[in-house]
Amino acid sequence: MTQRAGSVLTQLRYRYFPDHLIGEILTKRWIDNAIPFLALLVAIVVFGILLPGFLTLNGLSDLGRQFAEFGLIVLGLTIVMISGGIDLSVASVYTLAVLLSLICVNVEGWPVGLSFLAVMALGVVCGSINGYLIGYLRLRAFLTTLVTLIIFRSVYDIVFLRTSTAIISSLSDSDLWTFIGEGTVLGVPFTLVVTAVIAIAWHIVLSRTRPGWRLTAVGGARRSAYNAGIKVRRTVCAAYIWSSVLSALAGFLFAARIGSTGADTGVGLEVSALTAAVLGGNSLGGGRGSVAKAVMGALLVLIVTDSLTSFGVSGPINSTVLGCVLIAAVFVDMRFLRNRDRWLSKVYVSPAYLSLPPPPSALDPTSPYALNDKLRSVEVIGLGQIEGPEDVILDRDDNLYCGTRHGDIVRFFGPDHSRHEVFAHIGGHPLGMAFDRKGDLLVCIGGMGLYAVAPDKTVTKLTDETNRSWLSVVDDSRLRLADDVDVAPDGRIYFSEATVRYEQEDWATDALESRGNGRIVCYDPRTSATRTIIHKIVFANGVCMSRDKQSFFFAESWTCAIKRYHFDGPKAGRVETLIDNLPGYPDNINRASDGCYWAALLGMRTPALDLALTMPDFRRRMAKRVAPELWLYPNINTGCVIKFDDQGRIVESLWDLGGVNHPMITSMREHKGYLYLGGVSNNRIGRYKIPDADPNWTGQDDYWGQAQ
Amino acid sequence: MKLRMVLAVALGLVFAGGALAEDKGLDNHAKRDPYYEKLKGKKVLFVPLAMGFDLTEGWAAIMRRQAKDLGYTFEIRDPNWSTDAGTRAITDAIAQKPDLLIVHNPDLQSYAKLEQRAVQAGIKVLQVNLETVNPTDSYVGADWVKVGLIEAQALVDHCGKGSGKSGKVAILEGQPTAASNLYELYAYSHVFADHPEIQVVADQAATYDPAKARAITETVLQQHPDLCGIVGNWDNQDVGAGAAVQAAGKSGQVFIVTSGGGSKTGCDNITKGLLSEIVSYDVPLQGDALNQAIVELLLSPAKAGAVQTTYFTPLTLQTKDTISPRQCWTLDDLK
Amino acid sequence: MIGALKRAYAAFRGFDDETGSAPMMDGPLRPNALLDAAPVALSLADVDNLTQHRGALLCSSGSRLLGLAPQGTSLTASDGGAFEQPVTFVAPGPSDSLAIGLDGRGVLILEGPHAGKAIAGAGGQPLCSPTAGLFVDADRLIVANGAEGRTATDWKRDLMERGATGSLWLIDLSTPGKTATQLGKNLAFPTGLAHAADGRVHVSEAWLHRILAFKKEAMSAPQAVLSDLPAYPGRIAPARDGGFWLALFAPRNQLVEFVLREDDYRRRMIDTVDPDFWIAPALSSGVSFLEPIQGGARKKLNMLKPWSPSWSYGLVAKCGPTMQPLRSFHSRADGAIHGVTSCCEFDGKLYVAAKGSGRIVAVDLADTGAHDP
Repeated sequence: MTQRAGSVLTQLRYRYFPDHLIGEILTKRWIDNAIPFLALLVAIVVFGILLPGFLTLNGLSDLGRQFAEFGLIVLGLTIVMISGGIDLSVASVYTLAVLLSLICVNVEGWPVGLSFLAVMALGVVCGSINGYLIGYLRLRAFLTTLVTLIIFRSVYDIVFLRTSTAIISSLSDSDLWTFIGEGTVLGVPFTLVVTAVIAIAWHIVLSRTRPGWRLTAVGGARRSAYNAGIKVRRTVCAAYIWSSVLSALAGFLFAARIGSTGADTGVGLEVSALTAAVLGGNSLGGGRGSVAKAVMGALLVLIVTDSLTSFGVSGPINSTVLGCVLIAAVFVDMRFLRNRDRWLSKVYVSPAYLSLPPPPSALDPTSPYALNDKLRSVEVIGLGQIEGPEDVILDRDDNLYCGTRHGDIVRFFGPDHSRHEVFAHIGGHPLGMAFDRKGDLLVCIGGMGLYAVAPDKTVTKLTDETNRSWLSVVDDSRLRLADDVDVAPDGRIYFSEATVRYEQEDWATDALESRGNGRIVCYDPRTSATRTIIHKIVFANGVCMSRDKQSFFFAESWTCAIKRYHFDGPKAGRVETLIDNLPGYPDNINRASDGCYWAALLGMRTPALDLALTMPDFRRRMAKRVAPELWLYPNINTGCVIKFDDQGRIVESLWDLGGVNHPMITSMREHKGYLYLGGVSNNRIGRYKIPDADPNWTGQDDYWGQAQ
Repeated sequence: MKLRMVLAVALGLVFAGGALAEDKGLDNHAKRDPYYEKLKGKKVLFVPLAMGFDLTEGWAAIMRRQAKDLGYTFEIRDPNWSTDAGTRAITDAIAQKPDLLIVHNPDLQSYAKLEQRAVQAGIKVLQVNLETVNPTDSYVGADWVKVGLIEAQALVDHCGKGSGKSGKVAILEGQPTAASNLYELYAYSHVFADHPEIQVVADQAATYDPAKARAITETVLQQHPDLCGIVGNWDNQDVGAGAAVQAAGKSGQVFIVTSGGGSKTGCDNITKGLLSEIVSYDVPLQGDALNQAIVELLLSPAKAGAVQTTYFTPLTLQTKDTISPRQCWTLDDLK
Repeated sequence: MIGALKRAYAAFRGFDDETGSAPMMDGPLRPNALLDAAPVALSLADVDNLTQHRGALLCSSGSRLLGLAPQGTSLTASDGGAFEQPVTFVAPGPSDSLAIGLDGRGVLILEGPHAGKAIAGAGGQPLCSPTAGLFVDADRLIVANGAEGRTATDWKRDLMERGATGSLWLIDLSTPGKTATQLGKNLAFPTGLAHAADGRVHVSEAWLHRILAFKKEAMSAPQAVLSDLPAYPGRIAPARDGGFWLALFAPRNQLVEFVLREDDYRRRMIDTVDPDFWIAPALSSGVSFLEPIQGGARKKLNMLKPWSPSWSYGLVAKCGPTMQPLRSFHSRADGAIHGVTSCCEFDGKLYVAAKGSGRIVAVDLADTGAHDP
């Protein structure tokens, strides 16, 4: 009793709580930015409440001015980090730039423009030194920039001592200089505008242009980038130059704002900048980073340190907090982000609750499923010549077509099928097939969509996308696993997509999940429109037109059911369950010559898995803790073909117990008295002589009438 | 007769009672009430160079004591030696609109504009001991030129004409752009210009860091073993120089003069022979002066920046012969 | 406490802690196909305990005893008696003694000085799963009782219920049923016994995948002489060179280890599913399509890969005198000599009884150099 109550609870919880969304959201590319963004929001809200002046115009404007300088440095460092390096010397270059700006403007009295050029030149020189040593001489980035950090700093100390009196005693009265330091553009600090423009420019460079892509490529995999023809050394060198130039610009802006410098200027800035860059989500390992991340990280660090100072937190503690944040960010970067894919693949799997009644026994000799070995003695076609004929089909000339996992459609020439040729090469694994009225072969290609191959071997893509559902987090407009196809009398093409959450090679993970991830899609060749018509099918599989010309059957594999959808007639738009509680998982469905329908059972149900389907938590833990090779699977080592009539009664079943010839039967096609058998992981096609079948019956005639 | 006696006594008692109920002396409401009322609830912010060393801790202790006593708030924003953090702290402080901002300036420029902005925002600014080029409502602290003159003169007395010494001296600067540094440098050059026998063999910045001071001094001593004197910016920095001199075994030879807040530590350094002479600007005295300035500024009806005052705190000389326990303060004395 | 934290951390990270992972078959236990390569000497359903008695081979099969005579490369069987219950062990001893275990009943002395005696219990409890017997001398017999209140045939249930109620008894045959000394208790299914070189007795503790050494005289704290086996150890037979032949009757499997920690699922599986179709080790597998399969056990291009995970396996390990494994004989996932429950070195050959596959194979020791690894 309590167990049942528990199972009802489990059922409700798994029906209404969208576990799968967590994994889907975490898989999104923008999730990288979402975490620092959330942290930023939290920081803004928390400090906004705690600090009265924080969110005022004045407070924001001050933050903006500080950000203008700090953000540029973090951006520079980010560029270097994306290229796979690190630049500790940013702080010293910045300090030197502050000093040079003050000497130029205050002491020498140069025009602001000339001073600016001088400072930029300084940035280029410093960056070139780093870039040459690291990019061309291949020195270690960390040590090299640590050394230049010290050298540039020493230069500063020496020059500063000589010029300190001059800097203090002569002030510039340039309006432009004052404007750079204190001016606003439409209420926004000028320096912030400068930084914003630069940040947007860099965003475009990094995300939309070749140099940006090259930079990312070099950081991601230096060797591969080199092999791809990218000038790695030049790219690395350029990254350091840009980093120093941006730091120098930051120094120039600081000089204009403060008008002075001191022995402490820029001390420890490299740590703050590094913290910001890593906190924003830029990877220390290179290859992953963006302007948005740099901006968010810089803001976060500024807000935290500013706020701590405002709270009266003493300096050393403030530095300690920053250090801890850096360690935490680096830890996240190392442990979480690097193993993200592996970790995500585990979180992504979110099993659903699925309760199946006890299966009908195949051991009972009176059952329509009674075991037999009829299929063990079938003839074998193309043994070892093909791999993975998921579906088979025959044309009016007795030629036999099947797909292979190498992306070919192979044609065996009738009537003996001893010779074969590659009929068409499409690239993806061809799955379900059907002939339309014209004799074009329609093929579902796993991972690619719906294609048509004309008798003259021309391949046409019919569709590879459908309408995007509003509430779907995963992009369900792309066709991931088009599975089986059939054509309505009016030419509309209905095909199934097994799952929108997994690629073809991960179909078993979808079985573990047993969630309504599949759908039936309709492609109308008259309008070339593609629309999803049935959602939430638990692994949509075989599709076969009923002879009533207004409905079709489809297999819902993991629920072990065959259903019927009415596309026309009085029940149009309705789905009915025709057969449920099959002893195995139905795959393709095709017509039989006696008015019935064949369905392949790709594997058999096992009590252990049936039980596990009612325990989603158990399966989730299994997915996390046990290697996929060791997961509990549907037993697909035993194949079976069943025949059912229009009312859903099982008429007959054909077995190959133990799966000697056909471990997994995914498809069967009747043609002139024979049944041809395909299996997605087989290396052969089977041919079974059907006793008492019409020796002249073909699918084409049945669908489209006698050939003219 | 008897009746008159009784009456007289009774009357006397009545008068006496009346006299008891009446005030003797004056309440001074007119002055006391506005004084205490006005001070209550005022907000004072202090941005030091950093906390954790004798000067700022000393001032803060004294200022905090009075704040507690008079009921205004006194808060510290510690930028921990970072000018950048200091500018943030001040901009932040401006946003918080305190009644008085007390600033300890790292150099003559950095905070100058910000202080101007604070004044424009109606916040009175009191600069303490280290000023900027722009005067604000008040400056309380040492007259650095005078400090420099005293120091330089001490060196001249010790190493100059008639002393029989080499006349070689080294200058240990503090933070190159700080008020103390630049004003003292002026004083040195001014004095040494009149004494050509004084030869400045080194002039480097130790940036308040005793380790740096020690390193610089070690180098100078190697190049000039006959060094006669060192003039430094700050006692806490120049103990490093003293240590280097002692390590070189030239304690008697090299005369080290510097300035400081007159704390017990400074006195101890003189006793230990690390320093020869400290020009003390007497932190407890400065603290009292600050407190007085704080009250004046908080009570004054004048607008921020309208009146600019300067108070140069008195200087005392500390040498081995003059120091006594009374002159040397510890933080506990001030709390 | 620390263990619980470790487990919680492992669960959080999604990795398995040490207790939950089956070790690899590696080193001396590196997989090969030597059992499949050996000639089949006899096909005999349910063949179980193979042993040597009075200079001839003897084996049990279900509730029968069979004498085996070599004829060329094969064996011919002759009837040696039938019993009401399955024979759980056959133990020869000095003075031509012979004892057998009867499932659910106890021990029966067939031959020797005490012939005819039946021992139904020891220390007040019934010997309902007598999994192994070992004569110390003609009058004393050590008996391993696999689990309390459960027959030996029901071993899978004991494993999946994480049973640890097995015991080890020293029985004085001169006063059967009266003088029994308990040598060990709370054992997780003891399945094999052998005399150790140091005078102690080696006991395989199946569910904890290890071999223990006990004193023969009285209760003692056992010492693990071999642990972390990649399969469940069963009977131990002496080798001619002083070492041992260890039959490992079923493989450990990561999924089984996982299910062993999933109490809820395990409970419901035991309650509702036929034991043949459990997620559990087995003596043979691939018989019914109702058996669960694992991802790696799918046939690809009509082939089952030898390295596929499987519920059953064939494994015999040659161990040295101190039980350290020296080499091994395997029948892998695609093999047909699964569920090896005993082996016996006889006449230069190692006869291996695969109960799961119902076969006896003869490994020619001269060929394979089994004695000199």
